[in-house]
Amino acid sequence: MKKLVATSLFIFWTFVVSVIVASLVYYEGGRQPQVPMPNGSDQKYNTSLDGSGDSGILLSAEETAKHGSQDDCWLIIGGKVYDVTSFISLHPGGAGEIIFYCGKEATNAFNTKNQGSPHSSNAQAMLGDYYIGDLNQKVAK
Amino acid sequence: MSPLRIKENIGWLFVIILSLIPIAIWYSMVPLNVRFSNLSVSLRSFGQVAGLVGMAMFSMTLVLNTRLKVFEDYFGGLNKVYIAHHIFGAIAFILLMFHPLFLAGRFLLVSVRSATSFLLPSANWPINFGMFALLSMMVLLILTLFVKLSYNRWLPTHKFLGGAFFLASLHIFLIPSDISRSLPLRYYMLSLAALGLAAYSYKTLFGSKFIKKFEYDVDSIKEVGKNVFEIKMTPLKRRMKFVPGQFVFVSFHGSGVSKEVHPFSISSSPDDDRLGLTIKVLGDYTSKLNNLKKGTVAKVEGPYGRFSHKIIGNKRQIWVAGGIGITPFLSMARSLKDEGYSIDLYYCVKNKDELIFSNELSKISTKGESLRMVTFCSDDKGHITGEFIKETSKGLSGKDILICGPPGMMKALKKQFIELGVKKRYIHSEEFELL
Repeated sequence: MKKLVATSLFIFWTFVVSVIVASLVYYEGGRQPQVPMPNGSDQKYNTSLDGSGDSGILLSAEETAKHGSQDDCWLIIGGKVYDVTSFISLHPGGAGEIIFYCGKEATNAFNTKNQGSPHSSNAQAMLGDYYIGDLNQKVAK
Repeated sequence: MSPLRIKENIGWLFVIILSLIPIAIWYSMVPLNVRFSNLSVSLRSFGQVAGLVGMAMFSMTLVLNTRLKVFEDYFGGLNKVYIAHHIFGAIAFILLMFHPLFLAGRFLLVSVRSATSFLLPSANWPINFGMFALLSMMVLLILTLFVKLSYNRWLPTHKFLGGAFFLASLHIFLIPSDISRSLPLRYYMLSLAALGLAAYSYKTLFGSKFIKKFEYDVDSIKEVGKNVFEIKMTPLKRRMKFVPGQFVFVSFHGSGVSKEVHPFSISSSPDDDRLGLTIKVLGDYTSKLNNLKKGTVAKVEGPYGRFSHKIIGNKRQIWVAGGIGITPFLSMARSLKDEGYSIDLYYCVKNKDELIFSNELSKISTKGESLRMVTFCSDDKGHITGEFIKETSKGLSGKDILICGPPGMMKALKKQFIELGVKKRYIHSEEFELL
């Protein structure tokens, strides 16, 4: 039993320390190369995809997918696009429950919390604060 | 298995069932194919199961620590209750360590950075409570398992585990999880947490008020052998009833000795008006016992234990004592009357100087028919073996074997007896190293 506890302690600290060290190394070396964009363009200056040529952003699924990290997190919920980046750390269900959906369609996850029960009306209202536009709508930058 | 010995194991089963009920409720909430639909969700499910079962077992260890007499019946003596306390405590600790690891693994699937921010304290207090609970558990249990502290230094550290349990309880009720989503699971975990905290308050916080103790007056203290003292005490009020072979927790309240509570075997017969303890000086506490004076008040909690010739139905018995492990047998031998017992006692020591009680025991054995004694010195003949006992006792079948001595000796003899064909249920042992 003692050996089992010692082994578990060893696994625990090896895991924790290596994750933290890895993230430090990643942080040092990995700041510059951002996640490569599918079309190679800079995400901040994306041209619209509908060919109209003006300076808006089309809130497409592809566009949303570019905002797929915890530092830049868009969600599609019920045909609407939300930028919840600033909310992630405030999420009562833990940051983790949101970041798995960054850049993705999250309607089902939002409606069921993955466990079968919906979010409260209060949560529904809060979501409104992060609304950018409807899916496939063109918005100004 | 005889009915008695089945009952002695029900406690284990009961604790296991109570610890697994949270999984049953968790299982009924969401279908398993949803719980394990992909790696990310599966990791969360493993993390949840580890947390729920770990917390349930943590609560059980606090309950087992209360020394309620009813547990003795279902585990086969208080020493066995403490063995369960150790084992379930260790399993709970391991599960609670893996609980955050599984959840962190899920973040690792997203990014190393998100896993790091999950593993470090943040503004999320429900998670922080859990972290602090686990970290304090680690410190306290490393002290228990891997640092050899003296008993009186170790005990106060171990008591802080109640604090870790309180933090863990805050964690499970404040965090949004299956516990907040399922009413049955919430009530169940709430009851277990309340039970654990109640047990902790009863035993550790307010034990001095709640737990009944007998008061005795130290009457005489005699050095009966090298480093071995026999203390005789008279009851101040009520006399404690006990079965020979049982033990008590005693604290002495007088000058020259600290008020720590220590377990000691009773060596006197229940028929004796005075309560006798036979103590070998082993640690820094027992070395001060010769400072005890006549008239010192002793508070006695007990009696505990199920190690007694009286509790075993079979009257044909073999007793094996190693060194100071003779004490419970002293009580048993001194209480023997003509009740049809047939007992072979093996009194094993290093050398003749340690055969402190052989004169008294041989008097008992010549007086009646019940007891025969064989003395055995390991300096002359090496360690006693099951084979030797089998030969000199004229067979082992149909006999119950009672062993009390150093842990290594008990372990070796148990193994040898089992190899010689003795069924486990006929072997009874008293583990001295209780705590």
